[in-house]
Amino acid sequence: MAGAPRARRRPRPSSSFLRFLLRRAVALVLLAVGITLVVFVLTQLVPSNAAATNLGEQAAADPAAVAAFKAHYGLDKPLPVRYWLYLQHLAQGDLGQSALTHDAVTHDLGQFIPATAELALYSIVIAAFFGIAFGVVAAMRRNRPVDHVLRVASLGGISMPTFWIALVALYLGFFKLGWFPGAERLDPGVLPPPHRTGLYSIDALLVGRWGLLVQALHHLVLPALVLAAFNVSLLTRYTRSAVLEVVGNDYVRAARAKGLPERVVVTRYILRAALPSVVTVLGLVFANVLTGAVLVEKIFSWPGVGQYAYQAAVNLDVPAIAGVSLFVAVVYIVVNFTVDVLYGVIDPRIRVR
Amino acid sequence: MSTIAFRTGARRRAGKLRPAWRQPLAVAGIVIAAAWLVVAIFAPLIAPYDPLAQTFTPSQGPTGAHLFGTDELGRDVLSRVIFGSRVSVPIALLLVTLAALIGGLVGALAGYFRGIVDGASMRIVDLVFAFPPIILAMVVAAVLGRGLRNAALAIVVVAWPSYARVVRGLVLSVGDSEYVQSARLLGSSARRTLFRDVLPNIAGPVLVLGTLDLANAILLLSGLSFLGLGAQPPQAEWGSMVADGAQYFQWWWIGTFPGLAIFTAVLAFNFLGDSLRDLFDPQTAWGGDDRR
Amino acid sequence: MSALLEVEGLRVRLPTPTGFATIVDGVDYRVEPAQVFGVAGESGSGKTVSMLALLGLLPAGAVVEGRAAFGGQDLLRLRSRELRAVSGRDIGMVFQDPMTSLHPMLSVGRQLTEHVRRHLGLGRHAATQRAVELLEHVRIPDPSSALHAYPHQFSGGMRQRIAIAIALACGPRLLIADEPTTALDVTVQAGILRLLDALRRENELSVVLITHDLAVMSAIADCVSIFYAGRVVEFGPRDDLLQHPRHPYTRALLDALPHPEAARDTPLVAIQGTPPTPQQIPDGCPYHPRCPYAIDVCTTHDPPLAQVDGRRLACHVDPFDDVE
Repeated sequence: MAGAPRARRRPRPSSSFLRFLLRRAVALVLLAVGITLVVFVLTQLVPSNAAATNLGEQAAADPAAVAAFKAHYGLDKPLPVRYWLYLQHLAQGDLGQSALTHDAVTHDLGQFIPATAELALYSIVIAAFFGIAFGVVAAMRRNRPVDHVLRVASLGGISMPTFWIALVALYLGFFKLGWFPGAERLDPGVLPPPHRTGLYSIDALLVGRWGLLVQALHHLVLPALVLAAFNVSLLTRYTRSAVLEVVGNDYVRAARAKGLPERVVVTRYILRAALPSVVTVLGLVFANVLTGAVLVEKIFSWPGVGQYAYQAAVNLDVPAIAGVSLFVAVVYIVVNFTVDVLYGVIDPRIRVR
Repeated sequence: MSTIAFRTGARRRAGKLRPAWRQPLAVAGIVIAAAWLVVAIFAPLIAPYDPLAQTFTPSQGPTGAHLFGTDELGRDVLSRVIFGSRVSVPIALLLVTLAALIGGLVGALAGYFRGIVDGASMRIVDLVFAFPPIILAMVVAAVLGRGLRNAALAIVVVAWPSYARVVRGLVLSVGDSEYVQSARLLGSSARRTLFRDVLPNIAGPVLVLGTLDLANAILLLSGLSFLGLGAQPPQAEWGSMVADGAQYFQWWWIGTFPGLAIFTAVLAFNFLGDSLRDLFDPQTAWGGDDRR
Repeated sequence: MSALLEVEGLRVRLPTPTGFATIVDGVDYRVEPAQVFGVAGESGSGKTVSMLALLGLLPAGAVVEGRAAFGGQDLLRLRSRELRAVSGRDIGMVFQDPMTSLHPMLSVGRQLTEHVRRHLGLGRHAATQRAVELLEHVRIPDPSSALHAYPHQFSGGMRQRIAIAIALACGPRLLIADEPTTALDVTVQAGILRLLDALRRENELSVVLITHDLAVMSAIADCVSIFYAGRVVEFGPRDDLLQHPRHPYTRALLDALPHPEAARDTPLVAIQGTPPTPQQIPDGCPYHPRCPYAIDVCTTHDPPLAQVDGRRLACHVDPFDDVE
């Protein structure tokens, strides 16, 4: 019977998957609330005299001023009330005022986040590309010399302290060879491109300022590579395991029996089947990036959230600590939620009934 | 902190123990770890000088008298590295053991009693997992105040949930297994079940997790010290020594050798942990049986 | 009529931690066009490996000797690119477990069309048309929707039908079916076998049917070859061989089948001993340790596969010659 195939009916996303996502979203919200509680409790535990830090020495000596300060910020009320006030402020997007910079914490975060985001973006892309590629190579050439070399190399990669790699990179790349700049996001005195995303490389690209783009990338090379080092090794190992679990499966052999070229077999059959396991580790990769950022930003004087968090912790800047912890934790659980959604996208067994 | 995939099953068949020469990495790991252990124990005898003595010419590169050079305050770097082994590795070992015990207990209780106990403890685990380790560790360390002991405590807080999750999963799967159920039917008491069937199956993965976690703990501990939140000057600790090195990076020996020490110690435990993991999961083992 | 596939002296050795193991040790056979060629034997007898060798699907490091003439080419001498042109196009293969031989994350339509487009150069539309026709052919209901579905949404029997459709998509002349019904319920098996039989008739297709289940063999095979320890020990037309087995191993296999009409207390007959592993193949006839009819020469000389009364037999003794 001639004619086009009947109107396609794509399988609907199963209601069980949608319910799963809904459950996860609810859990996410609950978790976020729990995080606010934890953060709040932590801030109460920090031994600091908020009045003294915020008012300045003279005013702090004046009991009336201190009392007024406390009344204004509700510091004289019982704990649960203070928590409620805290939540209210959060709902309005008010994270308080940093004791160090005397700016709103949200403003500070807005300044520092893009720097870390840019660093994280490039380092994750580099890590994913090389990590997955190495992992596939190691798995497909199992037990051959390449595999053994990659095993030792990846074990080495996760054993090197990030701050040490950063130091060595700085010393070699900047001090000895002079190939790369050693600090900051741009050369001294250079103005950043007009603000669109806050990521200098993207912003420069968007307005066609090629010189600026190159400079931004130039400054990104060392810190991004250092930050990627740990994750490349991690992804190599996880990808290798994931591919090995898959590579002996019948469908791989069946694909070869169909006469498909090896390239297609590896990408469409093997890699796709291994992808869920690799995606699992993305959450961990992200956590490592944040962890590493704190260390890398310190060494490269990168004005990012890591530096901000460190200064806040060291100086006991309570609102800043609270703000950063909250931000970081929320981003982290959103990433994990995204990973869950990605599972459904990749593996139809989860998504389609 | 580190994640580990584990296979459920009543009695996990450990892979055959392959002869030593077939597992160069495990051997290397044991040798290096043992070497550091020896160094740590005999530090006062091995170190050429007092690690705190600022009596030498500052900022000298490696020479015959000072194999690792001297730092900016005139201290011998080699001696400081040697004494540093007494700090990072033993403390990391202690805190991992503590985390494993706490986490294991929580996980076991959660898996055994299920219900509310399980729900509540897993919510707490989720909460802790929501924070990237270093952030949480930094905050806790800041709250408790600087110092090595507080940094170690902060890391325990961050580390125990991994064990809770793993042990809970294992207890649940083992408890559900037909093997245990049939043993129970045959009249085995709950305690016997626990000791004979549950514990041996848990020991393996926990050991693997612990070894790999030890590697991470050393990294995190030295990282916190690097940031100034852990060991305080003038204590000779590897992480804070690297921080010194970062400040004076033109004198490369100040930061490089302590970093190398951290690297080798962590590497040893990663080698060990990797080989241990191969023992329990030969399918994806490196250098393992590739017949399917 | 010239044979569709002619295999001579096929020998396959696979690497093991303790050196090479000979899995297939000198196998000869001919598959005629439009014929169901049965390959029977226990697991480890080399029946699957001998087929995998033809399509280059053996693990790395395998050593293959011999000749496999198909379509004017020697399959064993082809370079991988040339072999890929044959694989999936002139020769199709169906595997044992359709749950694992179909990719769980690719749609049925994708798995049906990807090699068709490559081998036959069809455009997307034409390939989709062909896919729908194929699914109709193997009796999958609602083929157009099935194209967008995923393997896990189908039952085991339907999945195997899809796998067969995939194997036949490019119109091959030879289909290798490795234990196609073993992973399926008994009730579903018959359907698959009937399908294979019908397809064979409709498309002038030859089927190499590998199975350890003699009942399956007796359903549709035209001729049967019995594998043991990597070689063929008996070969002949189905009815003739299954009703009058002449090799002691064939006889023992048939005796081991529980007879539905036997008396209640009739004990199940098992063959004593176990098949030898590739590393432990005894000298002489590989079956002699388990054979009740073995004589001295069986322990020293490996009997060649010889032509005997319209069938081929590898046995020194031929104990059932006079039994009719």
